[in-house]
Amino acid sequence: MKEMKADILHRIKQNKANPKPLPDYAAFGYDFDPREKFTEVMEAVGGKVLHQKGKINAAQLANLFGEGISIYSGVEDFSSTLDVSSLSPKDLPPIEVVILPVQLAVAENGACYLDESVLPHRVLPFICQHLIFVLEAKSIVGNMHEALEKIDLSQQGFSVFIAGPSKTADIEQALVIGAQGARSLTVFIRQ
Amino acid sequence: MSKHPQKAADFIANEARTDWHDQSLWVVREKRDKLAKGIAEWEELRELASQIKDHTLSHLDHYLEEFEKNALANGVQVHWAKDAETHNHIVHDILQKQKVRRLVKSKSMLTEECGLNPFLEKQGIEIIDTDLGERIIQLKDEPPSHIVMPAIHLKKEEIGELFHEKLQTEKGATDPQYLTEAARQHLRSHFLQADAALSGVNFAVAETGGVTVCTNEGNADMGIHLAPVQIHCMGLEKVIPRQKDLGVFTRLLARSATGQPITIYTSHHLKPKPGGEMHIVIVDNGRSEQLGREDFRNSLKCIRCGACMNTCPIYRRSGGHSYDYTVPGPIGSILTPGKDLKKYSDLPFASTLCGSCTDVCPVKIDIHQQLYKWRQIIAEEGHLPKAKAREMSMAAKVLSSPKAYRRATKWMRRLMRFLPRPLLYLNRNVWGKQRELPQVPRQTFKDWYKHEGNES
Repeated sequence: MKEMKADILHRIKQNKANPKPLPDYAAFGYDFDPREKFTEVMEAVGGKVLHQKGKINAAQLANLFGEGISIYSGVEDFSSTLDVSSLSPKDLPPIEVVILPVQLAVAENGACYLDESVLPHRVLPFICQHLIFVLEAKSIVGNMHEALEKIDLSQQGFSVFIAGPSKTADIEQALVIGAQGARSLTVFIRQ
Repeated sequence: MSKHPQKAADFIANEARTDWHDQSLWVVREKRDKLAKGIAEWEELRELASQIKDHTLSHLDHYLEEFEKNALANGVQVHWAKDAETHNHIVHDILQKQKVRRLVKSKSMLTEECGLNPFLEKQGIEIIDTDLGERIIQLKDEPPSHIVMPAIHLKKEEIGELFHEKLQTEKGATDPQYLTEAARQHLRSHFLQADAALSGVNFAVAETGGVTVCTNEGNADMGIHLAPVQIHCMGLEKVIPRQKDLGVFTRLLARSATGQPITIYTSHHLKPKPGGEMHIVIVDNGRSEQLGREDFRNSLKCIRCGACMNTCPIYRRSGGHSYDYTVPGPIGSILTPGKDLKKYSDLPFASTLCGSCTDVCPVKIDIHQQLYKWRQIIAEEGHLPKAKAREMSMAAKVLSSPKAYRRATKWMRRLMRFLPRPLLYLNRNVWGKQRELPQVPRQTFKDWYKHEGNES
């Protein structure tokens, strides 16, 4: 094993080109309103954006997904219908709706960032049928450069940008929403 | 006739299907253009990406060690594999230690390159490819024909028939929505049963020791987070220096690949899940050798977006399988000769050298120039087909002497005017197989100049 690594690194040392500089660059600017742009991009990829004044309530959710659904809620607005901390990840499929707070969102591509600190199980945002993000309007940044300046990936074992409902176009390039992950993504933006 | 021309000829024989394939890919290329034009700094981003890759490749040993050091500090187990065989054994050992019988895999061209599936199947391990396109071709027992859209060559009727047979969908059902739903249910049961999950890697960040995986379907995350053991396999060229650099690459990748602003999921895996274990396998398999080829080391900058395939007039009309390698199209044609010059000597000729691949490449690889350079090496090493070698040497003689050139064109003009068609398009005339010979001018430019030219 050690030999293998030494061998590979030795070959690289022998074969690599003369040193070339690492470019430094500042975050690029942009000429759009981040909130408008975020909504436009998110809707273009099949997500839903709702502007929320107060707390999210059960009636709103029933309106979106029907009555009697099982919910995991990671926001204070209301409580989960079942306790996921006592479950193993493989027991999670019955969960229909997962609501999570989002640290930051990116206007240019609709990507919403969250890390493990809001996930009792890493698989939660992927295994549920419907995903809801709750986002503070002031947390929307313009582009990926700005986003990566604001977050520190090394703080958590797992983190992810999610930019819409899961999708595929693997059959004749026909877009299908709801591949293996969530079938829908709704983003509540709080002013 | 060597492999690519023969296989391409078979593909083109079905004209309607060729047109459909060509169109499907062109639509993706157009989407890419639309998204690229939406960013004022697009060209600057390409230049930055190119420079970051150049820098990384010129300090590759340093960055790989930094990456490993940080990954180890995160509690990740790091393995090094010099070639495909070693890679397969490393993965198998990890699985054996944990008594894994069932493995789910998200898309990884590297494991295709290494032949991991057949190897593990021989060892009695069940492997399920979970990307929809990959699952389709796995059920069909075919290799992928595209690195981003593995089943782009199949029609929905064929997939419907396949799913009817393998997943018991309705006979004759071809609706992509319905077929995708069937695959979703089928794959979800496999995610829940898997003991281990394996994924490819888009970017390995030296600064954090983490790997970034970009997907649209969510299958990679479903697998990785449900299984106790997660394995990420990466070619050693996947490393980038800093977290910050992800900004440049994630802005380029999906826009170039499919014309999306970003993939739906951009996941950063740094530490094993609670109670789980995480492995990273760093694979060489000829890459360090390619690094030593000055003319071709640029090919290691590739971020596997597939843009060069979507735009290539040859790829679009000959299909991915005609290249007979995991990575087809223009980029595949410059990677393969370094692996086996004789075997893949026809691929650098599977190009018009139009340069469109170079124009769309997000990391500015000079693909068409490398194709041209490989052609020269292939000719020098004597791997040209006999007929081509003969034609080339004749052409070289004629073109290197003005006198011979004048004599040849004079006779050609006469012959082409008077010879009957069957004689002109004899088997020896390889050029004329799919093309009309050009119209012959009545007089040469030189003659015209002598008579009409103003010699003042």
